[in-house]
Amino acid sequence: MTDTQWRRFEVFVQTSEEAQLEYAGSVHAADFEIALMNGRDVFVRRPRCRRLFVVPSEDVLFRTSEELLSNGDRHQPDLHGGPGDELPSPYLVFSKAGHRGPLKCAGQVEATSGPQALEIAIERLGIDRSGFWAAVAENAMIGNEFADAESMFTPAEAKSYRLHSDFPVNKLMREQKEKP
Amino acid sequence: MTEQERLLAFEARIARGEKIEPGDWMPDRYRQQLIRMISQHAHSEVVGMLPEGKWIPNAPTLRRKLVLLAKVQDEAGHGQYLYHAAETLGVSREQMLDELLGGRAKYSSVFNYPTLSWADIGVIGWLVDGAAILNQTMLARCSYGPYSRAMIRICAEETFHKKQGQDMVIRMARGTPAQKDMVQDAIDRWWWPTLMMFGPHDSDSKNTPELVRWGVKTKGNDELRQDFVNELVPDLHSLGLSVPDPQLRYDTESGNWVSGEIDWEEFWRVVKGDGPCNAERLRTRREAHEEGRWVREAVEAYAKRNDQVVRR
Repeated sequence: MTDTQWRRFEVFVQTSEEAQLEYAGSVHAADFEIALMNGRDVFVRRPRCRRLFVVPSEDVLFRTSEELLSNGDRHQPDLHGGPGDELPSPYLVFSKAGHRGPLKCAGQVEATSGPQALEIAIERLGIDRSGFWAAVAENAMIGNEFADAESMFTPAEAKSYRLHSDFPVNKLMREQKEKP
Repeated sequence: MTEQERLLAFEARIARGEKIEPGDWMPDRYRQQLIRMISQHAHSEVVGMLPEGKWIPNAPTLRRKLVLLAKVQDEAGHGQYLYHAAETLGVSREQMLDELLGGRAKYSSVFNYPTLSWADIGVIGWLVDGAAILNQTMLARCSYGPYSRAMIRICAEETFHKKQGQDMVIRMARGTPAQKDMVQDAIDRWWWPTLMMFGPHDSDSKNTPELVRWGVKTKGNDELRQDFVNELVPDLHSLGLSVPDPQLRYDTESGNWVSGEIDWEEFWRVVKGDGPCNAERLRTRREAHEEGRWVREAVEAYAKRNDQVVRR
């Protein structure tokens, strides 16, 4: 009945030039360009954003600590890395900041596959029992340039009703209750 | 590990406050309950755009129009966050949309009531979004990681919606007699449907005990409903507005505002599809889907021309 099951893209957001990249969620889109637009419309309507990246879901390896600790997954060859594709390339590794926090970029490693990237990162960072991880090959990430940030994100930032101070309800209620 | 040992280990993780993440072992029942809750929640956001969207062309000022547009846009976004969270449990977005458009999915019944005046927009913001925030603040602590993270984002934006609505109600309550009457009429129509949003009494809710044990919910329906009534009644009274409940009384011993009984017959009737706007909401969603077809086709043709793979 519906025709809405386009390819899925994972969305990563950077809120300032200094901030770590953060995993936001996913969108469906027919191509990268629309994935970026959908990513912006879904995940950065109100929060600040300088850079947005999208990656086809099949190029992101998600693993929980439970999965990593319980099987030999870490040593399986990467599904996308064919024979001869052995040159290490840069991967970004994401891990969960605390129980409640989102997945944030924990660093970059050189690896030949997602599982290997996670293995190296975990050796470096340690693993806790309830963690959640992601590895992405940097060359699979498509994002806007910093130079485009203004046209992509500034119009939303300029809306005055994005600010809590635009709706001074607590002050108004206090005034109301103090009325004789 | 036996199934029983796995279940005990799973429940111990929840008891320690750990989040369950997509690849972790979970009981099938936990997965099914979450798919049910998250997809219903997503559908509620999507259908929730309709009663308010109707007033976008009729907003009284440009500023109010922009504020309302942004709110409706937020709801579209919340629906998408939630479809994403449900997808991590193995259900596809296409399946969920098919169920919604096919009339088989449930969503919050409050959106099956009509928006008859501009004051409804303020009252929905303050009451309906206010009630939703109480529920969502609880769900932001829920044991399933993707749902919890979606809720944290959603709560931050819902807070705006509630403030926008409350701001409108305050200004109308302080306005001309006609404005005050209009806002009182809106409260009279939305009060009971809002109280129904919290669901049946805990004694009649078959899902609650399991959801509490698995850390999905931490409060029962009645407790959340009481929190809402206690928060809203004094504020409405201080604005010179009333609540359409002749049995409402303040209980000095418990410090609670005690409501009269909800019309449960009406509640179940609307849940089962026979509310004032159930058919209209479904028809509007289907039309929107059909009217968008040419856009989806164009987007797909463009992607194919540029040699990008469209289907997963």
